[in-house]
Amino acid sequence: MSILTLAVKSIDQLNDSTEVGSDEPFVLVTAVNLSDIVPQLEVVRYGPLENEGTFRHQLFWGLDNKHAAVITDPNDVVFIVSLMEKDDGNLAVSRIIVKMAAIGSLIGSMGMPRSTRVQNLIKDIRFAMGIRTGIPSADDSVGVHELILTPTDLTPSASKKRIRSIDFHGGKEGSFRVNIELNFE
Amino acid sequence: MSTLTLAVKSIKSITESSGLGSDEPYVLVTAAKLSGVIPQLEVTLYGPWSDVDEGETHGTLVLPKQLLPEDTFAGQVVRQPFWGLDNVNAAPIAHPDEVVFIVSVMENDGGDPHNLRSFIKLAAIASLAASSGMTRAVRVRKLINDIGGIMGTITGVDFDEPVGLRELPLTAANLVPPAAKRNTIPLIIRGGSEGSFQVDIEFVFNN
Repeated sequence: MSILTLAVKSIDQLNDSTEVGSDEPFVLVTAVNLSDIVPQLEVVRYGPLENEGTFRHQLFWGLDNKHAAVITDPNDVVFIVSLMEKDDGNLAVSRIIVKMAAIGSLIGSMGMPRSTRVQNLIKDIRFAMGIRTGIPSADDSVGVHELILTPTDLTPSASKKRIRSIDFHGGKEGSFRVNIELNFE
Repeated sequence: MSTLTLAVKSIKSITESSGLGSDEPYVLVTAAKLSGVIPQLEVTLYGPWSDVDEGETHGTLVLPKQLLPEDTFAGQVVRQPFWGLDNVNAAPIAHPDEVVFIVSVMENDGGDPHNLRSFIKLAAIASLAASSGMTRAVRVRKLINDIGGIMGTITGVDFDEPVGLRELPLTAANLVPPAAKRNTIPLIIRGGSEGSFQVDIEFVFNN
């Protein structure tokens, strides 16, 4: 059992998108606690990156977004990391649409195996990311990945910190690396 | 224990929005009962009121119970209760913490308030389902954040503008029937360039 926080620490650009001008990527992390009958869930937005490549620090685990919380078994939680490229969409609306899709997905998959629930969750989040939230240019989806934790990830290191990275290769939407910090109490 | 209704009695423009012409505000109240395993919830629309200028107060129309629930009648905004949750009948509140009321004010441009009401209801149900088992304070913070997020969605040919939202604070004293059996709590919602409004919430006790 570990008591820890998880947060997106940084977003690195690996390749530019083919659009004119700088990219404005942002990340939506859907964090789920599956250990209760009704899943607890939150969606946290990071970015878009400002000029200095920074964004507001906030936790996606614990689910109150303020305090460290226990993870007993990696299978008790699900973390889906989505990356989008901002155009004219409304970021706050995108976040809540993903949240609605995620809770609907998890309620709709109650009683199914974890792997099916995660597969459905990724599919439903991917479709939700395609919903237009602004005009004239919709935000573009770069990709959706699960952050898969292992028991080793949940063993505190000597420094009490660990970084996990996920690469997104979005073709013409560019490629990015999202760095996630695990911080143990 | 008394049963009571809560409803929007009136809206007053404290400062106008910076847009051209009069304001057309509307109010959406998200009312939830947290005491069950699955929260019961309703979102009630009041307005839009047309031609609202700074300093003016615009009321809601009291209808006989048999004509409720209805949000407009003969072009007037109806005072339908947002509590009880059936939008008609009084209901008990045993403790202030077992309910939550979030009052949102919007400025109508080209959006459809009924569409936004549906979006807010979906967002609120998702928010409360996703926060089951968390403390009331965390659930309310997330609910306000999620409703505030969806208020910016497209609901028509143009965007309606969010003015603001806040929780209706409720204490045990608010639930004690006064001699007159009715009481009003003013709630001020400030929206910067979208104007500021006072929403008067009427409590009517049955016994």
